[in-house]
Amino acid sequence: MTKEEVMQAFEQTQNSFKQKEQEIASWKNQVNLLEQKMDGIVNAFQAMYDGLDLPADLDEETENQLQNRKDGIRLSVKSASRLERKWKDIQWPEDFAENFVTPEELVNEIKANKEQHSDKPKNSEQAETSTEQKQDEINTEPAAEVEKEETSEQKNQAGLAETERKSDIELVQEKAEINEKVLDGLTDFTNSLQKQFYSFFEKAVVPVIDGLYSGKKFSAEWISQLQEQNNEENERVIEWLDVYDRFIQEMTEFLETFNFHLYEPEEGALFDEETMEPIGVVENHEMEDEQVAEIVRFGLLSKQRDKEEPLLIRPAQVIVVKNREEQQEDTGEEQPNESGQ
Amino acid sequence: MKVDNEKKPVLGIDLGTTYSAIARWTEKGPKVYQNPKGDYTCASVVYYDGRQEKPLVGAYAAGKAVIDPSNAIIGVKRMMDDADQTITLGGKEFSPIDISSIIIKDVFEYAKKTTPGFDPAGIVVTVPYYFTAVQNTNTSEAAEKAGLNVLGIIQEPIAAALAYGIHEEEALDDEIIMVFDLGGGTFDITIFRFVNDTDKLTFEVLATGGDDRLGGLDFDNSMMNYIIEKAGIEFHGHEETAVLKAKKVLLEAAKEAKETLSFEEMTEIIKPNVLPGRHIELDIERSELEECLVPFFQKIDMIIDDVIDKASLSKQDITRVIKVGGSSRIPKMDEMLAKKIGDGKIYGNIDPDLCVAEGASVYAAYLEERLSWSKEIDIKTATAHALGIGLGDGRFSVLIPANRRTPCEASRTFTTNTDNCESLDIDLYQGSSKLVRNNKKIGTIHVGGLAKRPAGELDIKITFRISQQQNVSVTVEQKESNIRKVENVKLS
Repeated sequence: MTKEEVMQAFEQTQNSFKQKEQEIASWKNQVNLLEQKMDGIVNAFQAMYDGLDLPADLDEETENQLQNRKDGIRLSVKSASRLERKWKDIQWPEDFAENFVTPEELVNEIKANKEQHSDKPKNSEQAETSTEQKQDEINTEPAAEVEKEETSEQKNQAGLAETERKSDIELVQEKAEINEKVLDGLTDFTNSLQKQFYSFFEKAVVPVIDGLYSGKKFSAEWISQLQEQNNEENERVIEWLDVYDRFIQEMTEFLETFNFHLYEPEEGALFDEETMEPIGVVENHEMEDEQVAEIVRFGLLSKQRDKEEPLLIRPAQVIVVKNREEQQEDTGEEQPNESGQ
Repeated sequence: MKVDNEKKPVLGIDLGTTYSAIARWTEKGPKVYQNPKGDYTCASVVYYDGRQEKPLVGAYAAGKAVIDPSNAIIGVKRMMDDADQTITLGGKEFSPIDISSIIIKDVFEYAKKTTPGFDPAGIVVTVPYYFTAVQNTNTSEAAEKAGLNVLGIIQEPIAAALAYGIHEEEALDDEIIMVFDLGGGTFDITIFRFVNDTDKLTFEVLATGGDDRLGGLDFDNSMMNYIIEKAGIEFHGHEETAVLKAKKVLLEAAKEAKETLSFEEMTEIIKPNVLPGRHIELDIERSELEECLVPFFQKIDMIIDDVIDKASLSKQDITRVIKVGGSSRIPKMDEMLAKKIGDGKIYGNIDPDLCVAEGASVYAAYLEERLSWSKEIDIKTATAHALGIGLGDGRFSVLIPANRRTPCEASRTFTTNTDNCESLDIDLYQGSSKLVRNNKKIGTIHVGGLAKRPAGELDIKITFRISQQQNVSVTVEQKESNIRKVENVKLS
C-alpha cells in the first residue's frame, strides 16, 4: 500500500467508527424500548384477559363453547407473558472504544515512538539511520498526508532501522489494522443483534398472534351461524367474540412500534413463492390452480429506514388450490422427483 | 504477492442432499456467505414448470414443490451415480448434473451479489466420502457446467476436519479423529488418522459408514407423534385442511421443542386452537425427547461400532470427535459419544451446519497457496469400490481394489478371445462381486482398427488412473495396431 492509501485507510476507519457508534446507540434505544414495551404488552394482555367475563345467562352449550374460546385466549396471554423470558439479554460491547485508535492517540504514539528511540544512546550506524528516517516521517497532525515517496535506497535504509523503531507509516498501518479489527467485531455484533431481534419477533411475538388468528377463524363460522338466528343472546356472543380483534390489534400496535407489519394476502390471490409458504393443496373447482384458497397465518414484514421495499421476515402460510387433472385421478397423489421413489 | 480474498476469492461449496452452502477464504479464516434472506444455507431443491425464465432454487423451489411436486426435484445428490437419468421439469429434460449445476450456480450467484467486481479464482466442491469415482466426476462436471473454475473436490468429513484444523492446528497432535455427521436426512461416520508433522498435515481415511435415510427429520416426526399422543389429539372427524394445518403447527412445535431442549431441561408447548376448540398446553422434559429418539440412538450406536470395527480400532483409540450437521447438537449425542469414546473428546467449537463449506474453502485456499501456514496438506483417500473390466465370460477383472489409496494407477494386459478380432468394446465396472452382472457398469471404451491376429495373440494393455480429485481415466494400448486411447470414465 502507498502512504496515501495507508492514511486513507486510517481515516476511513474513523468515519466507519462514528457510523458504528451511531448504529449501536440506535440499537440501544431500540432494545430499551423493547424492554419497556414488552412489559406494557404483557400487562395489557393480562388486564384485557382479567376483564374478560362471559356474557350472563347463556345456555349451557353456548357457555361451554365460549369458555373454550376463553381458555384459548388464556393460552395466548400466557404465551405473551413468556416474551421477556424468550428475549436474551444483550452483552453490549464495552471496551471497543478503548481498543480503537483515534487520530489524537495515533499522533501521541508517533511522538512517543520517536522520543523513545531518540533518548537511546546511538552508535554511529544508528545515528545515520535516524537521520535518514526523517525523510520518511509524517506530519504528526491528525489525518496528515505523507509528503514524499521513498526512493528505493531510502526504503532499504528504513528497513534496516526496523529493529530500532517502526517507521511512522508502519505505525499508521498497524493502527489502521487494529481499528479494522475493532470495526469487524462491531459489525459481527450488530449483525448478530439484528438476527436476534428479527428472530425474537418472528419466533416469539408473532406466534402469539397466530393462536389468536386461528381462534378468530374458527369462530367466524360460528358467528355466521349465530347471525342467521337473530336474537339478543346471540348478539352478546358475537360481541364477545370480537375479543380476538382487540388482542390482535394490541399486538399489532406493539409490532408497529418496531416497524414490523403483518402481511395477509387476499384469499383468491395467485400464489407468490417469494412472499407465501404453501402448507398444502386443496381441490376447489370454483377457483383456478395456484389461487390461494386459505390464509393459515400472517406473514411478517420489517420496514427498514433506508430502504423502500420492506424486508420479508416470515412468509404468509397459505393453502393453495390444485385441482386434479382427470388422468391423475387414478394414479393417486403426485410425488416430487426424488431418488428412491 | 497479496491476493484480494474479497473480489478474487477462493470458494468452497458444500453441495448437500438437503441444504447447500458457500464459503470463501479470508485472511481471518473461512467466511460463509448469507443469501438474500439472511440465511447461511440454501435448500437443495430445484423447481421449473416452463413458465420461469430460469429454474427456481432453494426456499422458493421448496414452496412450489408442495403445490406442484411433479416439476420439482429434491435430493438430486442421490442421483449423481447415473448422469444419464432424465429428470423432466416443465416439459424440459435435465440430467442430475444439470440440476446440481443449477444449485451450484444459484449459491454462487448470491455470493457474487455481495461483492462488486466478484471474480473468484476457483472453487472446491464437497462430496460424501462414499461417492464413487463417477459420482465425483459428475459433481465436478456440474460445477464446471455452472461456469466455475474447479480447483478440486474434497470429501465432506475431510473438509469438516480442515475447518476444525484451521482453528486448532497449533494444538493438534497426531490423532485418530472421528467425524460424526448427522444432518437433516443422512448420517455419516468417518474415521481417519491425522498426522501433524512439521511440514505436513496428513489425513488418512481409515473407515467410513452411515445411513443415508436417517437424520433430524426423523427426530422431528417422532417428537411430533409424541406430542400428539401426550396431548391426546384426535384428528378423526376433522376436515382435511384442519388436519393439514394442525400437523404443520405440531411439526413446528416439535422442532422448536427439540431445539430448546438442546440447551434447556424443560420446555413449554403452548398452542391454542390447534384444531377447532382444541388447545395444547404441555410441559416437555429433555428426558421425554430422548425417550422418543431411543430407536434412532440405538441405530447410530450400532453404526459407530461397525465403523470403528472396520477401521480395526478400539473405541479408546479415537482421540477426538468432530460433530457435523445440525442434529448433532442434541445433548444426548454428546452423552452417547462420551460414554462410547470417552470424556473430553468431543469438539464443538465449529458450527456444525457450516463447517463443511468452511473446510472446502480452506482446501481451496491451500490449493491456491493462500494459507499462511506453509504445511502441505496430504489427503490419503482410498477407493470405496474396486474398479476393473468385464471379461468375456462374465467375470469381473479387478485392476484397482477397494480401499486403495489415491492417487493411484494400475495396469494389466489382456488379450482377445476370438480370432481376427478387429474391434471390441471394453466394459468398465466397479463393485465388489466377482461377476460383472452384480456390479455397476461405469462406462464402455470402444477400440477399433485392431490388427488381425489369432485369439490370445494380441496383447491389450489397460491402465486405470485415479487422481487426487478422484477423477478416473482409462488408457487402452495395443502396440501392433498402433493404438493408444485415453478416456475419462463417464457413465455409458
